Amino acid sequence: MNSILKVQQLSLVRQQTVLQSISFDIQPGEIIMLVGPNGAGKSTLTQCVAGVLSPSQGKIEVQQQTTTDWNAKDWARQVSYLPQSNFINFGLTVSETVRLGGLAQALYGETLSARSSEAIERWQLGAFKEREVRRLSGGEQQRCHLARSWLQAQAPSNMLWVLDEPLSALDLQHQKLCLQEIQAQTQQGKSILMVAHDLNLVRHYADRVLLLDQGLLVAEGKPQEVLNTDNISRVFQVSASVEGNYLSWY
Amino acid sequence: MINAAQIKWLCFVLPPLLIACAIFSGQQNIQWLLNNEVGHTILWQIRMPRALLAFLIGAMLSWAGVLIQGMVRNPLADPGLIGVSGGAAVCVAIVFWLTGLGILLPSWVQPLAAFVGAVIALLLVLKISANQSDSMSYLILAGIAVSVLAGAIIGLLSYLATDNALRQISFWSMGSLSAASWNWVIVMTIALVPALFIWVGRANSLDALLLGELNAQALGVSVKKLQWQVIFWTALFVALTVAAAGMIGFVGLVSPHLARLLTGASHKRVLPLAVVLGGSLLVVADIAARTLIAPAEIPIGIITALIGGPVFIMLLIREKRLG
Repeated sequence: MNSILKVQQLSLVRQQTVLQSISFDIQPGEIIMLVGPNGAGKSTLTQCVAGVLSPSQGKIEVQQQTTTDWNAKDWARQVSYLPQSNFINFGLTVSETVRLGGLAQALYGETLSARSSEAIERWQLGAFKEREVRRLSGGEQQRCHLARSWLQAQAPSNMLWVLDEPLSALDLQHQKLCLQEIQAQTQQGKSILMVAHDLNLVRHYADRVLLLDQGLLVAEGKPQEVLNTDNISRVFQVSASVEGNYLSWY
Repeated sequence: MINAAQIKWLCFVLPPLLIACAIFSGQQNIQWLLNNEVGHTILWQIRMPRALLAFLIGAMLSWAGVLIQGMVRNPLADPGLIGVSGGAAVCVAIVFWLTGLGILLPSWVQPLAAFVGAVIALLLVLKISANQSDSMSYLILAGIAVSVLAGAIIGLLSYLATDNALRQISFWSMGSLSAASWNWVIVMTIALVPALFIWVGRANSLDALLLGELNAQALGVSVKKLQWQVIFWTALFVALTVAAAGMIGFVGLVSPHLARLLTGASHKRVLPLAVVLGGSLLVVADIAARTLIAPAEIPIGIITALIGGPVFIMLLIREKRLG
């Protein structure tokens, strides 16, 4: 099968090595979750894969195309990326923010209005669509940015949705909503790469897991294989046990 | 909040109305200005270019404010406050000082020097505040440091200057439109017209930049390119205004803020409205400067600072309240 994303020997060196010889691929319709302790390089890897950060070494192919010469617009047309931090210090409204999701595709007029209205409805933002984003709660702000990123991901050319801790500020109801939307994307053949910390949630929703530690990809595979007690103890420095399909640590 | 139609109405009605007020305000009555040869000269060669220049300079300062605030994601950034005007002013003061020493320099050297100074100051401030966890505070602090340094250099140049150069530096550092001429009006218009076409088309990219560099890039904006364009146009606008009228502070802070209060943060509406409000504010400030203690004239920079200072304090209190 043709992969949506192929990462080969990716390294990033700044003052120290941040990522070291990372290789993996993502197939159409797959949900890949990136896990690892704080500072493992998860966000940095998502930035490289989304084209907002250039690696020191290695190759990234998106839909069998080399990305070396891609500019920001090329990346944005193929990959929808939502960073971890999204604070706005200005009074942009929810509606104005969501509409920015159509920027890469140069959507305008009624098409843009119709798509952004759909995004606002899907992410349950209708009640405060004309309010300033900065005045909303953390979870509502997160949903607003998810709706923007979702709108960008709807473009036919856009086959990969990269999300850095999309659930961090969401309550249970909206975590479920977010995961449902993610699954709906995969049914259209689109792929997901997301950073997550809730390992039980990862075990339940991920098709494959990438376990990162100190810039190294230490394990990759099915959630049950990767998130075993040995790996968890070694990487997170906690004792863990599995009862049925439930993981607990202490 | 006002809508797009009201913005259009405001943009077309407010400037001509205020410029007409500026042209006909003063000690001479309208009848004399219209029906007398000297009156005609005053009207066409002094009042008209001065009113137009006031509007254009206010528009440019406000525009520079909108651009720099969007780029650094800080609604309190003003070209004067973050040291850009100071940088331009130092270089212009050097030109005055050299001229005072009898070194003849062509007239284009003054705006060019202002541009170089503005670029250096802006790059310096951006470099100091880059990669800081609290880059907003650092930007303002770096701007204050650069402004203080610029003030010290201008002070030193004033101390060393000849009497004539000293008078020029002092008067110009408080801001004045007395050097207004049709030539300046033409130069400003030439700078402003292409900017209109360039930046109105980039309003969405500026909006994306408000979400932060990562988000903007993820949305398809070439962030570095856009930032360099902001630096170029901000430096150009500030340099031209400093060269033409000296130091005029706070217009770049007050007008964009007023525009955002009236119409929200989207640059599609903020840019045109801030430009019109900035121009209008300076036309009103110039009317006050010319008429309050006529026949003497108050430097226009003092008027804008008198308006801008309290507004800035109000902004700080509001930002604090917003958390």
